Amino acid sequence: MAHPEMYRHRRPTRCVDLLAALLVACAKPSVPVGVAPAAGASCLVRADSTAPALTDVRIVLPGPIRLEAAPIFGSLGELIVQKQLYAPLVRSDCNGQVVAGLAERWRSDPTGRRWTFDVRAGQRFSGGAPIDAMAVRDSWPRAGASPRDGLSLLEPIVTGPLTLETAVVEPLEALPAAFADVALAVVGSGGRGAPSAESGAFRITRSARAGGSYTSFDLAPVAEGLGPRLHVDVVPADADLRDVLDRQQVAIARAGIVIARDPTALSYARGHPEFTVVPLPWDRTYVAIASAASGAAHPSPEVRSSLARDAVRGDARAAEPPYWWENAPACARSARAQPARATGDVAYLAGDPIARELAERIVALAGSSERAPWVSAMLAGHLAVRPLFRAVGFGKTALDSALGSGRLAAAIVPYPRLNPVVCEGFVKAPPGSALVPLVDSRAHVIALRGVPSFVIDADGAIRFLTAAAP
Amino acid sequence: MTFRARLTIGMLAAALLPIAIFGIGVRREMAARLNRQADRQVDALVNVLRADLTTEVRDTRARLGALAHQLAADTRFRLAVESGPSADRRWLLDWAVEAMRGTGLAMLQVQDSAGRIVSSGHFRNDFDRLDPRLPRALAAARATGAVVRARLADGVLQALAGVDSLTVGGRRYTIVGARALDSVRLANLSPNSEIGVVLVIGDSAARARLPACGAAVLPRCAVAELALPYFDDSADGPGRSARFLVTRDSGPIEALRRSVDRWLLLALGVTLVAALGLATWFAGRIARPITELADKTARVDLDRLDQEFATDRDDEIGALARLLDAMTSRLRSGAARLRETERRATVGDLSRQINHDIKNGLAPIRHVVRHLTEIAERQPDQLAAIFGERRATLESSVEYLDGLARNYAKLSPALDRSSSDPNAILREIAAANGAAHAVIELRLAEPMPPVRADPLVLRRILENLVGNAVDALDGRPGRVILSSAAADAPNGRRACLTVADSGRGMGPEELDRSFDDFYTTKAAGTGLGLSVVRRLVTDLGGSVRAETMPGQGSTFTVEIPTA
Repeated sequence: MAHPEMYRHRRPTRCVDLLAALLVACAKPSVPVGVAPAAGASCLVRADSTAPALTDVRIVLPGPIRLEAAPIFGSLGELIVQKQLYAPLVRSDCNGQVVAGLAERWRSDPTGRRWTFDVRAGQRFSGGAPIDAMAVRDSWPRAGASPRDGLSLLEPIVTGPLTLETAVVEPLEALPAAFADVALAVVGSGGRGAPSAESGAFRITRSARAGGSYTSFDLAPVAEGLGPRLHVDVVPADADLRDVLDRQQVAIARAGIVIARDPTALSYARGHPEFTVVPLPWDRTYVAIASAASGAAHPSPEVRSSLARDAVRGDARAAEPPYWWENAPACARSARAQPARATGDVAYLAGDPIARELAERIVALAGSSERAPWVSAMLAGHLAVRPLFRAVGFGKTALDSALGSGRLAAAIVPYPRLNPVVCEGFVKAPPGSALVPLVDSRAHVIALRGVPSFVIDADGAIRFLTAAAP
Repeated sequence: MTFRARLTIGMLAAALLPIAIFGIGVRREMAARLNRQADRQVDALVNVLRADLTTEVRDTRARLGALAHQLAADTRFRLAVESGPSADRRWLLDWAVEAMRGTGLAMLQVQDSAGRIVSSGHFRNDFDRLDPRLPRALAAARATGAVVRARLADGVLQALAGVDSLTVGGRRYTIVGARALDSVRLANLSPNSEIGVVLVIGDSAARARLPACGAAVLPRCAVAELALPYFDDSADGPGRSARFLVTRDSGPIEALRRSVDRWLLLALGVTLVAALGLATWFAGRIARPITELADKTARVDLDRLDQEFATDRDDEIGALARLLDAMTSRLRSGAARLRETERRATVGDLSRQINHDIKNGLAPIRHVVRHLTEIAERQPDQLAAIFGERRATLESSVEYLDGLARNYAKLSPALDRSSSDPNAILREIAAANGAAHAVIELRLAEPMPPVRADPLVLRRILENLVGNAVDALDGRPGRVILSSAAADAPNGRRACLTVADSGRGMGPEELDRSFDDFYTTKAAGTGLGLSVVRRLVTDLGGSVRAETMPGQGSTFTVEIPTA
């Protein structure tokens, strides 16, 4: 179950960061055209309002991106793509303000548990099917309704052609903003092996895939003139984004947006006046899943700050509570567990440099004669058997399996910073293990001049403004 | 053991022994040369390895010196180490990573004077760890360098390390660098798959698996080694040594030996088969005329001296055959003379027997004559009647004497060797011996030289043969072919007179005994016909032979010298 505190907490942090970034960008005298917040909307990013509005925008996102499980996402790239394609009933902007989505009105009963939504009439999926209350009800079960869900959403009831009623197990102060989660976006049924039918402001007009992952998309707005055409290029997570930025400079007429966590790429972009770098909200908390229950001895804030400052090269900070899994442990836990076998491996999610760096730091600390107590506690039971540890990268499936087999001393994985509405898309901790938060991290958006205005939603996704979808 | 077997064994030995000796010699020489070549390669490899390690240590120290100089001059380093946690700390932590990439080192580490790691290139996040032993150990082995087992984030690294130092703000910093000593690099030092380089630490199990090469043939053994100091930054305890073992794999040489052995055995096998075949054939070819001579010799006795040993071979066998032929010829002459002597000795007996026989035949005649004389004197009127009574006795006695004369005539020797025409005699015999069921054909060579024989003797010879041929038809229709031909033989020109019939032929046993005295298959035969023929032919200095096939007839060939 989600904790209301987490939603209260994230709003000022996100807005402060964004404002600070925007102010810094505007304050640099060497940047003639920067990003200025729209009047009265701090989460609106408008790059170079003096430049002519571009009708085609190229976006570069880190991969891999798959849409088979949409609207459940496993990466920021998937979130951003799905945000363009699938719309929820309501939206929550970067200020926490809930605005209309597919629903034009919503209300709750006095208990705050039962919520009623009126779907706006005349909306259709990409396949032509109408978006009505029935379609919303059929869509939501795909998000799951089990008690392990973060929102503990009950089965919705259709009370009219365009009216839908649902309830949560416990009232949340964060509602109805939680209904804006992309996991509750409305999706239509797609063909076999094809993405779900779109309900959002954009439609897929072309796509290319390699090995099951998308390598590029062309997204067109629902109607001509309602927004830019988006050309999405997916690059490997370990790609050198400076090359992408260089190509962007060559093809400057197709100004675009790059989502990056790589500090090298961010540093490179900051050194060029054509780019504006805006931090996105803190969206990940890197945790150590320690097989020993005694690993619950968390490192101090100073240690976490040291990890964020010295061990991690991306944009990171000490992990800050509250941690949603402490109040919704079922969402963070897998079902299977087996007896631990000491191997001395500290695993990390392959392709995630921050996870790798944290794993390497823990391995280094474990081999130090001045081993910190929290490291000893985390690796207790393994140190006596094998004092020499090593950091090993695993894919998500292999990591799930290795954690389930109990043969890892610890695993460093990213968890969503916010309470997930659906408990999918991240590595689960086996029962009996401890979750030790280490650092928070965030990505940045690198925008070139001429990019049309876009907003940053509460979940960190950028969303282009169209006439139909403010 | 037969002569043929001895000859075969000798030929086999003569063929196999040289090949076996050659193969074994090649095998030993090849192994010796390969071993010498491997020893030279090992020596060269040890020298290369020693020079390579020296060069690497020197090169590493040079690079570390350059890095130390660069670091000492870098203001950001000074700020990072002097100002505590700051923006330059992350630069410092990353410095070794970038510097390591730029210098091609596999390990790079900077430590402060307390031995705390301030920047690590091979294990970036290993900063702040206290490890003062490493620079000390490397300083002690500055001249030779040392093999270091350094921790990585995902394992360990073995490298050849050197050390340098710099001073900033009055504080001394050490900089440790190393180049990797991985298996690929060691493998690249090996000139081929037989010789390898292995890095062994201390008295580890790996060292135990690589004993020194000795007399025993080992799959892989150490033939040389180079020792360097060793330091393990993840283990406590006294320093150990690292040994570069040059190993030699005897597998390829052993495989080559086995291959040579296989080919040698194959060559010996093929040679054995071929030599066995050739030796058998050759020994048979050599032994056959000897065996034939032995067979012919075994058939020779005083009654059968018509064996021909004459041959046109000009080798030892031919000489032996000619000697045997001459000896047989001498035996024939001797036997003829002996028989002549015997005949003369027996003529008396025969004469007495003939006398006795004739007397026996004449006695009744004499009695009848006396009786008739008495009747003529006393009873002349009864003479006719009495003669009629005694006439049968007279005729019986005359018939007995006539038969006796014919029988003795068959035993009559022919001593006259005057010239005679065989074709004329054959024609006369053909005309006289015609029968209703027998067709007698003449196939005579013209002109035919006269033979050195009495015509009566020759006629007796041929009449005997033609009579037997007609009898062999057993009264059934058939043919008897009389032919003549002249041929040159080593002992002179000869006439070949042949009597062939299409009669019942003879079996082997019958053929063997056909020339024996008193052997006959005819109910009324005397068993003397062919015996007399052979004696007569032998007396003429010729030979007679028979060829027969049961059911298909017989052919008797008489060869006698021409006149």
